[in-house]
Amino acid sequence: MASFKRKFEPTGSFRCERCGFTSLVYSFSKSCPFSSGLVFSEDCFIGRDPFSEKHKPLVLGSRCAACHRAICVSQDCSIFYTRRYCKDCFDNNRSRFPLELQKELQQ
Amino acid sequence: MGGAKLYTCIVMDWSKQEKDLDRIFFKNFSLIQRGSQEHKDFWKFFYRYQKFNASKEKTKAEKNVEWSASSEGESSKDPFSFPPVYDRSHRICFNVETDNLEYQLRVLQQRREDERKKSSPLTLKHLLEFRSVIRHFLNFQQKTKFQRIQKIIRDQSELPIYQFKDQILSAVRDNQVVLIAGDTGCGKSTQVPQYLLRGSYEKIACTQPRRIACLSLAKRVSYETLNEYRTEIAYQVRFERSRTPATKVLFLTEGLLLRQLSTDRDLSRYDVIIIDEVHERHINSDFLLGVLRILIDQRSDLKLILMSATINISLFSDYFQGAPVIKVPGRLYPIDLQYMPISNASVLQPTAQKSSKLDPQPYLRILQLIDNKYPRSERGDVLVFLSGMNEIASLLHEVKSYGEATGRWIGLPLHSALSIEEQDKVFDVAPDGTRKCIISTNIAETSITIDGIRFVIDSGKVKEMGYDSHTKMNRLQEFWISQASSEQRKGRAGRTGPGVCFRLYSESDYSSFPEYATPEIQRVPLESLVLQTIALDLGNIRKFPFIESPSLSSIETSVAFLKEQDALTNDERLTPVGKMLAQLPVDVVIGKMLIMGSLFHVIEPVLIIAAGLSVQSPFTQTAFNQDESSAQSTRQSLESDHGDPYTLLNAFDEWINVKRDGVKASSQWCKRRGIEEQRLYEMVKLRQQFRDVLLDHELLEREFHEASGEEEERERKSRWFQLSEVQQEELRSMRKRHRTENKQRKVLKMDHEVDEEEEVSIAAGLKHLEFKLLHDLSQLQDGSSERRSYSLRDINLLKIVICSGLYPQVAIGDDCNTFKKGSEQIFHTKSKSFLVLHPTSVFSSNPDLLFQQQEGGKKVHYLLAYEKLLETNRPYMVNALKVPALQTLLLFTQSIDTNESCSRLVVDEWLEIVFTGEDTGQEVMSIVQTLRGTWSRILEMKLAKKSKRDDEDDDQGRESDEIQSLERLLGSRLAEFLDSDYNYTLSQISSSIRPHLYKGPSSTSTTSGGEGGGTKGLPGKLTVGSSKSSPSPHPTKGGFMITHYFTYDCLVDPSQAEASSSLSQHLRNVWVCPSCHQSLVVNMAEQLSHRGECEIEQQAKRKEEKRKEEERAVINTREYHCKECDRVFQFTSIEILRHKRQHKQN
Repeated sequence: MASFKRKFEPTGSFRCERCGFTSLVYSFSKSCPFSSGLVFSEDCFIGRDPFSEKHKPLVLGSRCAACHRAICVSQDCSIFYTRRYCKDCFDNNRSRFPLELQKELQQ
Repeated sequence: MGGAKLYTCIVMDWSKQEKDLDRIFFKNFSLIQRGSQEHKDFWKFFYRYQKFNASKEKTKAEKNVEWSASSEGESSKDPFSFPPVYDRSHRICFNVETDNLEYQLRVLQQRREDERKKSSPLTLKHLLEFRSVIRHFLNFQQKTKFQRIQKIIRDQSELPIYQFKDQILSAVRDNQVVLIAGDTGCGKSTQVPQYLLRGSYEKIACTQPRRIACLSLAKRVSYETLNEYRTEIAYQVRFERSRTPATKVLFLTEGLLLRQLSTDRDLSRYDVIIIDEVHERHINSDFLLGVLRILIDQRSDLKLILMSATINISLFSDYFQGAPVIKVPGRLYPIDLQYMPISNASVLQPTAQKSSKLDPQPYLRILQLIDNKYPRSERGDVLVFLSGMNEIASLLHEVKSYGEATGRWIGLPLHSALSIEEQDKVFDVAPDGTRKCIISTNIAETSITIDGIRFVIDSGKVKEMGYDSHTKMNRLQEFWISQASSEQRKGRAGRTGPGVCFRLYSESDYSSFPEYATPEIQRVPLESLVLQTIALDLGNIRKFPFIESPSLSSIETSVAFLKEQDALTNDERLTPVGKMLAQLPVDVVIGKMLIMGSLFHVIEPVLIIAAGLSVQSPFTQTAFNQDESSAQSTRQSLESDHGDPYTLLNAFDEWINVKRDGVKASSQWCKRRGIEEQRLYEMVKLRQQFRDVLLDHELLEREFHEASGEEEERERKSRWFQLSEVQQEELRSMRKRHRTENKQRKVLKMDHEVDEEEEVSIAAGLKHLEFKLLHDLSQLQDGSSERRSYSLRDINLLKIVICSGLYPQVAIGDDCNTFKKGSEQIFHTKSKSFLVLHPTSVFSSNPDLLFQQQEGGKKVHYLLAYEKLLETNRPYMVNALKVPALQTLLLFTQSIDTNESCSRLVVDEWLEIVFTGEDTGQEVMSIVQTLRGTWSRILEMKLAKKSKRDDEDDDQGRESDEIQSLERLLGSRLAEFLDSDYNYTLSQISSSIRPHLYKGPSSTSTTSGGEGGGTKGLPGKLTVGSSKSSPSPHPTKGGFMITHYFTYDCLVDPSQAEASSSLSQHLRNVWVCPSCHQSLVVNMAEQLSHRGECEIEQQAKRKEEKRKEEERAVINTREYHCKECDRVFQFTSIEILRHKRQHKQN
């Protein structure tokens, strides 16, 4: 019972190093501690979906695959393509990403 | 590629596979649960997604590559290495985990086979494709949710107060008291508690003047903090609370915080207290400020934050020794101000009539002006401020017909007497090309904020409740508004965009307006306030450090009233009744009713009536006006001949019975009768709350079958299970729908015809089910059918109980009333003449009920007791109750003065009662003394009982035994008294006679002639019979004080020509007391005094004997014949031994 309860407590707080977005997180891992069904393809900062009555995960951010800064999932801060990249690393290495992606992001 | 092509050729009809797919994917899948909103959303998304893909005519099927960086092998260190082929699914950072799909498919097909059905067309590919759509859906969800969070944060940071966040926190850290002044829309109410929370304060209280604001703020702040703090942000109001031990921010009403003081003197449960909207100057917030100013000296760790509009800032800052002020600008768009004073000609015309009707022309002209000047395509509604409901109704009529003619306007009323649903209409959206014209009282000034207002039309008038502490008259009067509220009204035009404000007065009028409105404390009765100050030990109320003191005379009248009501002792301490009253969250009048109701065991109807008088009247006036014929006639069956409180009781009982037939029946029943059902629900809740308070104070004993707190909770739960499963589900889903429905704005229709058979709203259904859940309907119904069989005796007893609270609010009918219509009948109280019946009163439509009825040749006199006086255009009595005059007066008055034969009584120095029968007066006075004596004895014992609780149980039992027998005595005697019909005349004492009423103290002379027979006896010398105290002379009136209310023989008797006959009254005669059978030599005063005490004493004696007898029976006694003294004793064996020993010793 005790362990069950501990699963629901936040383990720390997450702060986006680009925009300053801050929130409590429950885990930095590939799986959500309180809900099954999703497997993340990399370690993510996992928060709790505030709009749901039930305990559901909400991905808040992860570390940039290139510069390793903590960044949030906002479109202004990062993009995800197989891994998460901060907007700065993406902009600096734009040409190395698939053309299709570059086009899509321009839209 | 070939396989893929084949696959796209066979068009899959997904809709036929929904069931199977649900079974496979959403069985235990926690992220999307079958039947949930998300589940529905998913299927919508699914079909949209399919359509989108089809329209794109994709050349290749979605490959659904679930590629992950790690699966590529950790060896690839290059952070920019990507799979060779671009795929959109790579942009999703997670995969969806499901059960083994191949296996699932096999299970599916097997089941088909078992059920002898065709095998499913679904293949593994389909399932994989389906899973990939789930993945896209979840990704979409994650994105939008994060965006929502971002929006909340962005909105917060755009609020004007955001710039002051750090300043506020450091000010609070460095100072004990901080004032934050900001105009509407700056975000102070929602943000400051959050700042404090993030600044790691943990016990934050935030008071609000209105209950509704507590609920909505708790909800809003909880949402804005992303529910991170869930139960940590809560509210608590009179009927509801969401508080838990984890609560860190609590929104509560001012009244509630004051009540918490009684159990927690220094509010140690909080470390920060925010008083919001202090500028509104409600009586509670003013009082709270005073209490807190005292408290902060005692608790240096307590932080106090005052929040106000930018009104009169220095008043608050100075009150707290120059507390720092943080001024936050509001978010207002520019407002174009236009003064359009109504010309004198049009003002004069309507005021010629007595009922000054509102002239709609200036308002309609402005609507025309708007029509001409602003294109229809530009949105923006109108908000009109008028003074009162009548004005609103008459303008609404005009606006509606103008609206119909132009097709451009929808008129909507807004005031507090409207039903909740009607009020909510002002938030609905007007259809394109039309504008709302909301016609409102000052309720829309601060309490209700409506978005989309572009034009404000301000009449400059307000109707406010004034209070005359001398006559205890509430007066609804029209005033010019203050400059502060004038600005507030203007500001309503600039909340969502630039706006225009039309003021229907001149600029010079404006500058003559008072700067601020009169604070509530200076215009309402102060009884509750006085009680609370004393209960909280705050010292002398006259020296209380109010921010702005109420008038001394207002305090004095309140103190006097409380003394009159036996709530305060002469040295201004709380009596037991006063203590009780201070704890009841109700008016003194209502509180007394409740206490008396429990004493006389008629608590059920009293609870309901008290609840009914405490909430807004459930009888809507609108129904009264509109469908006069239908609503009024259907209501008639509920009306009681006894008066309005009984009508209220009937309506409640009837409603409870209709309730059995379900929600639709009851809400229609209410609608037909013009009854606001919401108020009845409030009554149910309040009734329960009153009950709990009385139980808590042992004024009400738990009935045998009745549950205590814990058990009640259990019972409530079991009622939940008694609801069918369908109902449970219904309730859950209704609660949910109710939540979502509230957010959606409906579009208004041009025609307002309300469908009689209108679908019952979800809210009503929800209320109904919750009601069933929380209250034992069958128990309520039992009560209501019991009341149907009430005898006249029961009804009269109930009247007396109600009167115990209402007195001295009684009025006598004018002598000329017989010749007048109901609405023209006039009534007089001691301090106020020419009162009239309220138009909703049963006596207004049926004035005959009030006339002294001839019953067997005897006249029955009635008085009207009323709940309060309300002066609008005429002084009305509200909630009138018909009561028997003699009995009511003699039981409750503070003074009864008699002549020497008791044939003439003067009550409260106001009414004169003259008995026609001989000796009737003496008989009546003796009964009254007994009744009142017993009454106060019971009250004393009951109230003392609680404090004695720790004493021996045995003693307790004996005491309640005594109480019970006294109660029985009182009950039967009281009923007899109420039933009795004495012959008497009743009249008012004219003010010219009043100074000559009494003999005065000097007249100790002998009886000579007609100028007042003096008292002949020399009572000082005599100790009479068993009488404990001999009556002492009254210092000013003359005569003798038999009790504190009864002064005998002090009246100058004008008709007393033949002194000789009365002479006998002063001579001491031999008299045999009918109850103790002693013969005594007494004069009249002594006789009366003896009788009053003797009755009670005899009763006690009889009871004591009976108890001893019973005791004897219990302890084994037997008859013992002692040979030595030759007597028979009733002895226990021990007593026999003792007796024998005595003989031996002798």
